Amino acid sequence: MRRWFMALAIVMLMLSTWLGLTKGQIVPVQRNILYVHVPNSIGALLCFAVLLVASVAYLITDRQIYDWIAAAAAEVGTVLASILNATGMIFSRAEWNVWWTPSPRLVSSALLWFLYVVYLILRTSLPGSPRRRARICAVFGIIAFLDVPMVYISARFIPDIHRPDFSFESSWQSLALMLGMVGTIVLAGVLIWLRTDLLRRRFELENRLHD
Amino acid sequence: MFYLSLAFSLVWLCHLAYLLVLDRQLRQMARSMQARAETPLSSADK
Amino acid sequence: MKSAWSGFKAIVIKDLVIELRARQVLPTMIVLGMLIVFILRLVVEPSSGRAEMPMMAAAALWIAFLFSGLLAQERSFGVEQQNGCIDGLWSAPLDAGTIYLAKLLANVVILSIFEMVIVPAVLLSFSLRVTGRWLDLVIVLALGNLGISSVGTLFSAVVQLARTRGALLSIVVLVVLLPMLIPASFALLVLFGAMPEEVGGSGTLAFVGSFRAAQGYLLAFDAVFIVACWLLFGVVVKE
Repeated sequence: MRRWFMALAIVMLMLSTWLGLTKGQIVPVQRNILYVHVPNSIGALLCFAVLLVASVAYLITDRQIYDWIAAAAAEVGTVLASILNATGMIFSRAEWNVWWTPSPRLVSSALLWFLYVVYLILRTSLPGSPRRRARICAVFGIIAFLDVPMVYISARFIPDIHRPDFSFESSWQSLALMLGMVGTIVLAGVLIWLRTDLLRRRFELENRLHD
Repeated sequence: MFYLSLAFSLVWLCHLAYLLVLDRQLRQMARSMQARAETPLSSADK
Repeated sequence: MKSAWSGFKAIVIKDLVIELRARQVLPTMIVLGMLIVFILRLVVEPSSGRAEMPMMAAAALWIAFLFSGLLAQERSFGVEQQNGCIDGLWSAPLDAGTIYLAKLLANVVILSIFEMVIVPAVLLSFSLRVTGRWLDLVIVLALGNLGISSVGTLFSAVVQLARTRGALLSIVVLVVLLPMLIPASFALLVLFGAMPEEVGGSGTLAFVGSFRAAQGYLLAFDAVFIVACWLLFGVVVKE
């Protein structure tokens, strides 16, 4: 079943890339980064939402599966956030000739990345029982999630050079973007699913040793 | 143009790499669980 | 309700008395803060333009606050590790939220003492004048103080058993406090006279918005995080 979703996601992403670069090309040419940047941005944020829901669910129900989902979401989110930042920086270099500048968009994506990375470090460096670690990571997940809207608001205090006025000139473009977004979301979902499964099996494997 | 191809290849590489890594880890995991299931239930460390 | 208040008072007073008598962390905080201000002052050449000084000063102030604040927060639960005081704390008939608020208040007070030393140091070394806006300065610093202490107190309880205690606390607190620093720096720059009250549109200035908005944001940030940390504290201390 997973294979189907994986294939679907990859097909969508390939289609999005092909469409975006041929039928829906944007001028000037570097703006086509949009086709990978925006989907990853949505994906990274969605992963955070998954992290939050899983964290809350873990605190309420105390069932380990939610802890695994949260950890998986953090990992996938880190990958997506890294891609987000990398494409953002590449775009920034191509468009304004600077690799990075404190613009609202770039600051928010940088913070998102940092939040993910700190979550992962917390997960690996906290001593104590796994249950305690899971609880604390869940707490951090919730606090970190509160940070995301906070940074979007506080970034309003920085002048914005980021927004090239983008309007869809043809329906091919919006299709390409849409495909990219859905494809990335599906891919992220599959990845989280895979990772959660991996965590669950590792746990089962380790516990069989003590049988 | 250079930047564009840089970006796209980066994205694709990352996505695919992560997918492949996870897939491989899962296969290994499945294999070791299989191996564990197939060893006889003699708790040898008694 | 009666016992909650007296418990709260007891913890606050205990922490403050211990700190003021044993002076475990305040001297280190002050020295660290001064060193940070000194180093950052060395980096700025007064000849490189009048705008540089206030900006560096704002940076120095918030960085000193953050890092010395981290020291204070590490203390707040670190001090309970000796002689197993921590067990005494948890077994007291006190709601976890109350313990959090008490520790928070103690941290805020200690950080305020630090503030009273470091702010004149910054103003002096960067040759700044805060003409007539002292109340606003106090408010902005207090809001920053609350923000820093709120997150720090919660996570200080978390990292106590870890070997890399200080490092872990630092990254967690700094990342959560990041959004707050933008309006906070903006507010300080306004107070130091490097920016007008309201900045609209882009230009050579690095910020846009109004001073009141920045204060409002800091207030909202503090409210959100104090409430969140207060509610979540109980979860963190369950064994």
